[in-house]
Amino acid sequence: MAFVNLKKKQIQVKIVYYGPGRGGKTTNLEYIYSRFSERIKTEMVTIKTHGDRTLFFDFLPFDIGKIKGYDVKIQLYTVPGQVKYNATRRLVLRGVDGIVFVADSMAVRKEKNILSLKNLEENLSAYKKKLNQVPLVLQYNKRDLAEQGIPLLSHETLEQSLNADLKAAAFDASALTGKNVVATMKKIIALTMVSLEKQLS
Amino acid sequence: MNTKGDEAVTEEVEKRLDDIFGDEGDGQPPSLDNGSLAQDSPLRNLKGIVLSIDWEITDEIMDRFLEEINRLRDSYAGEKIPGLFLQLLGSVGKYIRNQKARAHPDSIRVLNSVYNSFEKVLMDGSMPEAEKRNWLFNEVNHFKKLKQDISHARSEPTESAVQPEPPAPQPTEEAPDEGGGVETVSPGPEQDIMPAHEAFAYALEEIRQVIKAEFQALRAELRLWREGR
Repeated sequence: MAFVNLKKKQIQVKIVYYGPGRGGKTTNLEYIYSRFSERIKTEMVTIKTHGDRTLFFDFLPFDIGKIKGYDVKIQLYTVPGQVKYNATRRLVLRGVDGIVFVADSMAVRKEKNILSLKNLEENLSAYKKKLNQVPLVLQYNKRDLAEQGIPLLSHETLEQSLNADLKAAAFDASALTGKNVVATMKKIIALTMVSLEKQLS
Repeated sequence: MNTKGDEAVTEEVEKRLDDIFGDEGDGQPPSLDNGSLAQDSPLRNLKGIVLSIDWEITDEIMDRFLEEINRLRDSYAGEKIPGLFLQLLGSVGKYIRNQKARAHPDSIRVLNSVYNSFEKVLMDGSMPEAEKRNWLFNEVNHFKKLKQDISHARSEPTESAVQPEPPAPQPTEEAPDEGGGVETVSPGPEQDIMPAHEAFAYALEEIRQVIKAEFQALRAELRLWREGR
């Protein structure tokens, strides 16, 4: 549940970008930060290894102004995608309000996507949450690689393997070029705000 | 099912987000290497594998990588520059395969850099031989620098008391080729270690579970005590 300050009429919303390692979670946040830093007037916090992998998490907070009379502060997080960092992923998921699952469209990453989604479900269950009860958007990233002749999973295959039961909103995207990065973020914020409004009313 | 209340919230949120993220922003988009490969390109498979390599290196991916290198070496047998590029890729690939997540962080960058130069040299039919050699020497230098860094890392004292660095790989020299003295790198023994921050997060999670269990036990005792009164 989001942090709500009734006295100050503030809501802090936590959105976590989850997915397999090297899938583009950090690149999503970097794109948003690089394109809109002038407007959101904030700093992106990132803790990386010297090999450019996310070590703990990335954090991008920004205000979106008043919704229903409340000042809404959005906090975007990523988790480290590497399998070995599961305890960190679980900690970052604590108090999550909405999730973007960033899947890697490369054909060779099909299994990694499925395993990561399963891992997300397991980690949510530690907080007694079910994936189909949390606002969720799927992003099928790296679609730009098709132009380079890299074998990709089709949208239909990704839907079948990841979204058949969840039936969440899904976007084909390229975090590198920015295609549908903002659309994904807008969608998860909107879904999360609707969900929070229901919980608060 | 969407209610009118949902729609009102969605509309208000979208309006706010459009104000902030409405157009394409003020910054510059990140650059993208759009170099595309034709369906029948000899490097198509290799490029796919190189892009899929990360620190979660699996034996399967690395085996496929090394098999593809061997296949290309057969295809380019007798061609000196492509052969040397492939030798470089094979050497770095073998090192990464053996070290996996403990490979020197620059090794993935060197692998990508060697591949990109190889692709440029191979795909540009009009490139003069001298320029091809320059690309090759440049990558040989990157490789030599990586080898030095690996040796240097081995000689540095460990920084963390929680988890010592694994022994660095032992570089060994192969008979140098005419084109640039390509060397192989053989790995050191593997260790299964947990990074400090992950150990901390793990410990925190353990503590949380212990506290939770303690509270459950206390609640049960209190319940029994109340029932006993």
